[in-house]
Amino acid sequence: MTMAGARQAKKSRRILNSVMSVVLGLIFFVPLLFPLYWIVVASFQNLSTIYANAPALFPTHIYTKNYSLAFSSIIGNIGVSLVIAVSVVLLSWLVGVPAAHALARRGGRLAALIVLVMLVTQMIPGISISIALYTIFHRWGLLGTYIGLILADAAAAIPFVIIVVRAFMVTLSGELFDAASVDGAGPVRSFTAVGVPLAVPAIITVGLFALLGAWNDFVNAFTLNAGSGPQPLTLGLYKFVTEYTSNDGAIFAAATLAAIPTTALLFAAQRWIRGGLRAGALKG
Amino acid sequence: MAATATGVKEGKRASLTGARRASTPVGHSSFRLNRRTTERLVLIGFLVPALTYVVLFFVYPLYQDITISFQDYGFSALASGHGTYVGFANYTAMLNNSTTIRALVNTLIFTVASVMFQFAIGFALAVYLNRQFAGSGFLRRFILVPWVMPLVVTGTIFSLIFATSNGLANEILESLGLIHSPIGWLTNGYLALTAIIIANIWAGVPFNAVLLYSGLQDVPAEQLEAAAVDGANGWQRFRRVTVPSMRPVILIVLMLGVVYTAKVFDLPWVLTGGGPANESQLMSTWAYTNAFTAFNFGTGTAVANILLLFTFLVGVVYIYISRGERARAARPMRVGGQR
Repeated sequence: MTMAGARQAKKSRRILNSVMSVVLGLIFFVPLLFPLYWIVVASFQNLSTIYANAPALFPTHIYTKNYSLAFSSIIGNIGVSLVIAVSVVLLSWLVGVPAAHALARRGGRLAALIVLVMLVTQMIPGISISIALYTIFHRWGLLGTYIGLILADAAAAIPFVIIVVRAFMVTLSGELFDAASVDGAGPVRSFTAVGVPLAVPAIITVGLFALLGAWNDFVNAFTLNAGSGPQPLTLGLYKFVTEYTSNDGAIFAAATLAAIPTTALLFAAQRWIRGGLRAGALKG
Repeated sequence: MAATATGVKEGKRASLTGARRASTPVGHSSFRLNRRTTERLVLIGFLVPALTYVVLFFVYPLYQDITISFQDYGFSALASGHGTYVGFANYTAMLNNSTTIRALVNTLIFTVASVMFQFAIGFALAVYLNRQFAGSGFLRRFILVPWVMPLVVTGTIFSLIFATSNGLANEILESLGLIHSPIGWLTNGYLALTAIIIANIWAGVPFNAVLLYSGLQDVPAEQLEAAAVDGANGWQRFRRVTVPSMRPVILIVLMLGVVYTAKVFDLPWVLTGGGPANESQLMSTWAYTNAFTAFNFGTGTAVANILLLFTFLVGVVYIYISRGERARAARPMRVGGQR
């Protein structure tokens, strides 16, 4: 083969490669993102257009009535979810981070056993816990309350906080803690002044996961708070859908609104969420 | 963090640079004698809230699940907190109930089909993005969008997609000429289960893709290059180098996929509620239906316990494998924006 021929072949292979990249990209990402595009477009159409013949794939006009109905109905739920999710983050940090520190500083069989128990809790179906908590909270008077739902949602988050933060803290050099100790820092101070500041990346990551977990929770909300009490977004959307079965436009709008907060959080904290996903799954 | 605010007063405000090491106060030696004990007590104190939490919100509920599953536990028992002991009656009743068998089979089909497709598509997507072409970084940002959404939202979106009239699925199939009249996706048992599986695959692909993508990045480049020099083609390199070195990640992703899929409740509940006529019930939705629709907590917990046994067994295998992997390659973990 001549030099020119080889160069020619190389060039055409490169073109073929980039064409394939685009084709494969479409095959992967159209199914991934099209459903979202479809509900957003449909949410701006009025009912008669939607029913005339399936929602159009391209917006022909902007109809915002769907949103005024959906928004006024679920804005309260968004507030409830915010209160619950932020409380769950704070509570799971408060309970989980000191425990992670203790387990990282003290190795040994007992610490290993506790970490194992934390891992096992991650395997338990939410519905098993929810049914039991319903009977327990019934006696404790916690059904349909903020506190009950916050406690239940934090229970799902705390083991994850401990597993991931401990795994991170174990990699911190023991010399830093020794130096602090020589300087006269007690065990509490070595936690607040050395352990916590150094583990900030892991602490932020697990905080985001606790936030997402509580925000997305449906099992606990649906079993513990369905009857009465504070209704988070997932429950609000579920009830909205069952109430407005004949108003698809409003349902499209409500689903779109409900998808916005977590999507926004993902784009704001993409790297942290990816890191947490890997840490949680692969580094137990 | 607020948990520790009270403890800060204890001890001197020591500088961490060691500059004040010389000025240790008198009486320090007696303090030092107690130091180990103090440290141990404080660390135990750090653990107590977490352990209490696990006992109250995992151990106690599971104990409750087991006791209730041997009781006749309805409205009156709920108020008193005690049901009548009935032995294995709830379990035999459930296992003789055709819906339970259906739910078991459905859960198995749902789990296997979901995990298989999520894994295959996720792996293909990971390999695709690992090629680092122009725009791969941009596309990568969108992968997790389906994963972060509440499953209730996913369920709602797919109930609109699979709607008989004007649903996206039927519109596409009709415009392609594959069907001539709308299919009742959510009104036929097996189609309803298929719809749940498709929605779940959509929600689960991102999880698989991200973990497998990170596994691909850890495949030693030298080995791939060496194989290329030896004349191995792309598929052979993938088969002989990439897959073997990713074995632990692959196993973990599959195990976690099985556990997380088998226990999912939100998505099937919002999409079909177990219907039509219990035909798409999964163990999770069937446990809920028993407990909260029939108000029979005895049978509800019996079904939940059967599901728990399954996820627990898979979980034990997962923990065993992940420990093995960690022992094999004790690499420093990456958290946060390090990549």
